[in-house]
Amino acid sequence: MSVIERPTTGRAATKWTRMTGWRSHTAGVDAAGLVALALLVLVALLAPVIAPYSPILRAGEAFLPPGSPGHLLGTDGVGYDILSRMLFGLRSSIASAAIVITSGVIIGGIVGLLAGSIGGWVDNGLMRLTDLFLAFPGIVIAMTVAAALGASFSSALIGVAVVWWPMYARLVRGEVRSWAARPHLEAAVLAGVPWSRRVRRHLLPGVTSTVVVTASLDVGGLVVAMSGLSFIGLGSPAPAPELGSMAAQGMEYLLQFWWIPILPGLGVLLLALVANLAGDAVRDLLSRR
Amino acid sequence: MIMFVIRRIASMLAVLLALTIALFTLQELSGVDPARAYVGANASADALERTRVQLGLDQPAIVRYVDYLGGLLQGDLQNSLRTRTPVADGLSTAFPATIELALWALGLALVLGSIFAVLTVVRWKGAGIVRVVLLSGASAPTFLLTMLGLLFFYGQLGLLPSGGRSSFGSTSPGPTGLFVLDGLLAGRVDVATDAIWHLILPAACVAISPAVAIGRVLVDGLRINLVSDHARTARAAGMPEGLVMLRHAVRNSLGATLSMIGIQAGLLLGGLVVVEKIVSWPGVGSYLDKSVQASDFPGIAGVALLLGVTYVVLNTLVDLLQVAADRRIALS
Repeated sequence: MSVIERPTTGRAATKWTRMTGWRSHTAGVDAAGLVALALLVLVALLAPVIAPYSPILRAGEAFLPPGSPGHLLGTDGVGYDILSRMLFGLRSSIASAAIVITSGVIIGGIVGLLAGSIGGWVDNGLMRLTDLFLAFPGIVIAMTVAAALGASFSSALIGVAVVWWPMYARLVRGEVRSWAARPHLEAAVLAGVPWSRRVRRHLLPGVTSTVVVTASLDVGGLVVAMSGLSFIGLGSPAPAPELGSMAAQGMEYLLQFWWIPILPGLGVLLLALVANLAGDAVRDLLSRR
Repeated sequence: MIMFVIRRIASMLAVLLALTIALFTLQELSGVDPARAYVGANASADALERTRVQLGLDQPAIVRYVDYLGGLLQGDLQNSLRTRTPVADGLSTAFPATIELALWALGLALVLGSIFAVLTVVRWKGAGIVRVVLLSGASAPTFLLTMLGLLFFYGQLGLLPSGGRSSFGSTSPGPTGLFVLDGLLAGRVDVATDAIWHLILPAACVAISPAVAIGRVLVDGLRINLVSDHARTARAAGMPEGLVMLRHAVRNSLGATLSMIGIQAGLLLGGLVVVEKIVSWPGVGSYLDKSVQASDFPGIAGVALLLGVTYVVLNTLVDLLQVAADRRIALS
């Protein structure tokens, strides 16, 4: 065990932490992450233009391997073009992640802001509600809500959105409370600055950067979670192109035609990795200030 | 201390009550008619109406909720629309399979996470590679990992089975319903090893992302404690580095790690459902998958209730364990 370095001073300890840090980031990696995410978003936006075939019409023979003429990523068991379907799947993944994160930030932000800035029984009640949501395994609740509303794109979104706000609520409340205890806000209270102005001018700007960082670090996990939901059939029904359901439908061909279920899964992995990198970049950029 | 235990258990009961209210409301929203589940799709309107009165479905919502709750307390999870048999029966055969898989996954997550954390902290040279593998594994959707695992270990190497729980039929040779344990208890080593071969792949795929989360918390804890004043004092007094690690770093990092394990146990459930579908594991996840395909809401609600209750009870236990380990928590 002698290999353990024994930092004796505070400075050595920080350096040590930095050297063995989980992620040693450079500006280059950050930039690459952001550019890659921008590219993926662009591709998703342009999917109807760049996709060579319709995602829900037979485009050719079934089971063509990747690299076949006219079908860069091959075709699936029906004869759909996998590349075209994946482009549209990427589009729906990005769109749903954006919608869920936005709704989570808005709902969680409002709840946290009210709880943190008003305090008293409002704080107590709202936080009890938040704790209640956090007391359950989120993914199970999301599945149940999505199933109760009937399998569709919007049910899946609602299901995940229902469990995605409490973390933000707790975060925002904590931040707001720590800001509210600072001298300039105490001074504002004494000077009779009204609640709405204090929230608008002092509290909101204070919490924004923390929330943005957390939200951008969340995107990767959210994309993976939603693809899992789609995989077990809680997403858009059958022919609609979603990465999770494409993998589920291609599962039976795994051993003979591996690309049919594997490629959509790799698509999710790519999006999740890029989102994580970009999330780290956002964190680095905002925390450097 | 006793007050803390009582308060913690009371809040657990309140949370469970909220879960039943939520499930009942969702069932109302879903528009499922439980009477249908009893009489079948081809029954006459007359028979349907009779069953409805018989089941008390003509009563107002609050009365039905009380009925529903009463039923739950007696283990009645309503009838499945898919099989038209009680959901509780289907789940009671599926639950041991999921428990076994979950325990193995959690165990693997702990082992992987600790190995990973210790390697990182002692700055072993290969830790970087382990880190990259685990981190990208944790970013991948579970279904991709499982399919790649199957493709390689079953398709290419023929080393692991393609799916299922056992090559010795679907009933466990013992009382617990856990194949490995029952196999060992019954002296059937072949059954136990066969079950382990079936468990490895799905358990490992579910375990990777919790392993990373647990490893992270452990690394943070170990780092802080290894440079803390008390660790320095111990070293100054001549305590060997290994003992400092064990007594001062590991022990003090356990609290945070324990609560992370509680959180991860919940996240693990989502992975279980997906993996069970892929390797045809006859557990709760497969049951949920079939219920989803058949739009069988009572089946889905049963699974949600079972998993929700397991999770909430488990986390209460984790909290109580933490207090047992560190009494100061009960005071705050």
